[in-house]
Amino acid sequence: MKRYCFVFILLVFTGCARLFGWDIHAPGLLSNSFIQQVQTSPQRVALFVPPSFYSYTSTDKGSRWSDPQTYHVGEAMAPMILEAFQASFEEFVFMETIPREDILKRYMIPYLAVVQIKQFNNTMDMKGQKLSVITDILVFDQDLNPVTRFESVGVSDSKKVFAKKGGPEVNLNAAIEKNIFGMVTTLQDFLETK
Amino acid sequence: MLHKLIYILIILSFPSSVIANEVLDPTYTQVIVRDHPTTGEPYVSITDSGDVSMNPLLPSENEYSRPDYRMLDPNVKRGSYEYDGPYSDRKKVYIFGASLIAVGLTGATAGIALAPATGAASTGGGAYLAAGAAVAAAEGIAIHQLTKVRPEDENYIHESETRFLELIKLED
Repeated sequence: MKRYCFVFILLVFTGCARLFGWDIHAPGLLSNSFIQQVQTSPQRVALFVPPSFYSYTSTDKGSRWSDPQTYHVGEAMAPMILEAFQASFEEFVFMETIPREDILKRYMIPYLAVVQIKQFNNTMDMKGQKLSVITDILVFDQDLNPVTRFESVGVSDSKKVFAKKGGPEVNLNAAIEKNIFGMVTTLQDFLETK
Repeated sequence: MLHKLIYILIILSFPSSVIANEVLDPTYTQVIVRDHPTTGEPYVSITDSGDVSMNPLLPSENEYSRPDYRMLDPNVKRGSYEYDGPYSDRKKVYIFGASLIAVGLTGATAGIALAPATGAASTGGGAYLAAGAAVAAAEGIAIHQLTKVRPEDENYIHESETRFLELIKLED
């Protein structure tokens, strides 16, 4: 009984997911193809992400028989979304304070995008892994009135992911990047119509 | 001369707030130019007044290369594309986990598992360690074989999709 208690206490203190499974931290960098595909739009846009964005994680292991997995989605997505908006908008402003109407008016920011991570899905089978990242984007005008809302889904479906060093990490990075790609291109198109 | 004196008196009678050039920021915010933590590219940030500290929630600098998604192609051999980013190694944690299981299977106590103190205990510890290592190796190989895959299809799929949603009325 004592030996089982010892093992149990050790597992509790060290964290079961880290002992038995995968701790996935993506590189958090956009690929060269993103930089080449996205054109810079001559618009002024502010971006705000809630504090919970940065700490968004998922322990979805994809199937009943898979190893435990922890995906640090927000940790990787934060620098990537920042880099994407820098590349996509000439006058990009990052809001580190909670946005207010007077702030947007003072700095003449016509539109504010608020991004939240809505969902993360992991599907695994014997051949590979499919990851999807879903975000909710709300766009406000200078008076903080919502003008549009859309959802972006990024998917990366790859095989033999876990057989390669960095495979799950790059797969996660790809899913995040596809999500951000859809987000910025849709936002650019929407703002061009305004 | 008299009209010049009158002009001077008129100017001096103006309220000081009109002449003063100091403008208070009613929003209590400030504009800072920061460098992106991973790329080093500058961007404009609006923060609260007096707060110049870097957002602690953003990662610190790293020197990773941009990922190359061609490494996800199952036809590509391991190591064909250089990857210097973070990675999770499952094998070592399973070996450790198997060694813990071995503690329970062989009936060894916590004292022996940590360090053999006497001759008798060292023998028991040695036996435990040998048995634990044998179990760990077997567990490691078994796990590796179970998860080894041989896909028949090629390539990877990357999708991006957006859809507009109904605007919800925000509460005040």
